[in-house]
Amino acid sequence: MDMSTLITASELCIGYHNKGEHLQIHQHLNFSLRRGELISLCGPNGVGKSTLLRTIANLQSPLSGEIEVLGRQMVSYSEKELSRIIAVVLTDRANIGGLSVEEVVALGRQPYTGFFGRLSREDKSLVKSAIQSVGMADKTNRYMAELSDGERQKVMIAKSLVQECPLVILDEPTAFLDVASRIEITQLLHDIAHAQNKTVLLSTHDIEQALQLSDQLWLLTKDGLQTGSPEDLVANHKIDTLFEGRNVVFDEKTWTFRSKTRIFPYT
Amino acid sequence: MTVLLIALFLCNVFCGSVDIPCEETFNILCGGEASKESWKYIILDSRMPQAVTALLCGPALAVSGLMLQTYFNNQLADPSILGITSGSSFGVAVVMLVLGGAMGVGNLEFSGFLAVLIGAVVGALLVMAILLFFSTFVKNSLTLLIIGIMIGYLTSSAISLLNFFATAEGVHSYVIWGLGTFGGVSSSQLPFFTSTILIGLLASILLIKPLNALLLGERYATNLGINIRLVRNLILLTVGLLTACVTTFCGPIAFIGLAVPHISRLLLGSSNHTSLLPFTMQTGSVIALFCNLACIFPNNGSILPLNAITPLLGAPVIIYVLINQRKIQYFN
Repeated sequence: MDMSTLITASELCIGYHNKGEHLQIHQHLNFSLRRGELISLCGPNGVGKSTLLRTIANLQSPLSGEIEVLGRQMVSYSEKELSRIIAVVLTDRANIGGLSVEEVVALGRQPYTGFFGRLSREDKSLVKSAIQSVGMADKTNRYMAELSDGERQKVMIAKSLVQECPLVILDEPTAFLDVASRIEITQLLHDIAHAQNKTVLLSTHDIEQALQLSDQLWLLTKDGLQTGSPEDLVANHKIDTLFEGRNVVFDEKTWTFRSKTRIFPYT
Repeated sequence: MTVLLIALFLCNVFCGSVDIPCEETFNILCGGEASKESWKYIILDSRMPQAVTALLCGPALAVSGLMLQTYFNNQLADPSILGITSGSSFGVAVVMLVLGGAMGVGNLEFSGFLAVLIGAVVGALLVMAILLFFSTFVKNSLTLLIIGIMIGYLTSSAISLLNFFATAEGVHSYVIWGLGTFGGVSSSQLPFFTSTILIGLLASILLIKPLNALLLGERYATNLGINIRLVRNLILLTVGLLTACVTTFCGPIAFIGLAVPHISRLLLGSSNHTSLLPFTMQTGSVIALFCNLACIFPNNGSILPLNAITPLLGAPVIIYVLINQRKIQYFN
């Protein structure tokens, strides 16, 4: 098989188990993730973006279908093995206000450290350079409680970097951030994907920015998943399918969304 | 903290409701003869075991509280609030009733003793199994806490019903046991008690790494290679063993498990278990020894019940922590 392919999913059905019943959110999903690409997953609220990401990260099991990781079935991996292949940054509220930035990033080394989690010199220098690469070097010893949302997000990204995984999955890493932090973080992830040949899969609501920076775009609607490069998806008029039936239209000249109707016509 | 610990331990040996001169105590401890035979007995068979018991019960309860607070991601979790203590009390009561009417553990043979301890562990694990069952679909930790409190009430009322069938003497000794004391372990039981607690404490030290990962939440911990199911079972088993052992010998002691982790986090300024867990053990010992000392404070030959002292120390700490939630870093 192709060595540049990290993950392949075939006929994947995602959703939840609820009192013995299967609550299907999506079925017949087929996709693959290649090395060194930034992939943005876009879609309206509640369409199942987080569920899809969690399924790929093995944090919840698929209802049916198969995921292959590096040519092997995902179910055949232990947590320990997967922790060196897939790193995640989630929206979960963590209880880490009483830890320092350095301590949180160091948690990312757990897949490699021994029984007591003691850090080697190599681990420490990795932690240090990860903190530097997300631009938090001056706050290494601060408590997490003292940081802003954007800074916390950067720390969690640094945590995922020291995990040294070929795939990093981020669930809405730029939500609740101001424009500057949003651009900084997306650019950072873009650079990581290209410079370190990592695959970065993230979900976002910021489609306009995703179009500019992603190598691949995944559009998830209730009808299923469409994948392709931003240019192709625009050329094939796929972007409009995201908000079908809503009062927005995608302008293919400027690559931006606007309202279909003008409430106050220009004079 | 270590110095304070040693000082308090010595205070516990040197002070008591009977006045024994310091040099005599020192003599007895060094294996020398005392001028009164009863003094020797008091020091070696009463004060020493009691001080050692306090020294171990403190960390056992404090570490249990800490592990539960981290696991349930709830700063108000603790063995007594979540009903685990009353679960093991229930186990003790059932075994006692089966073995005979008396509900005191003081004068039991080793085998009977083991039965009581097993009863307590089973009781504790039963409550935790129920909590775990609820925690699979009750996501709100406050709701889970209240369920724990309700389970506590249920087991307490079950114990009251059991008491109804017990002899008057049995009820009396049960009530005394319920007041809590570190003096319930005789020197012959001490090796068994000590080794059980030490096993539990050792297990908690081995859980430091996964506990740190759990601070990020279960999903992050899984992604860091932690086998959540295994770790959860180990945490609950360790808490069950420690709580049950303390409860069997010393009665249901409240507040140490709840307050000591907070005191430790505030003093240490970190929730990193690598340093916090050992520190919590020391603080637990210090607080327990201090409480034990406070019990003999009236100095007129009588001893206060332990459960009258621990809330005096614990409740203000919890109220302080809750009021200052926004200012205390580990809440954010």
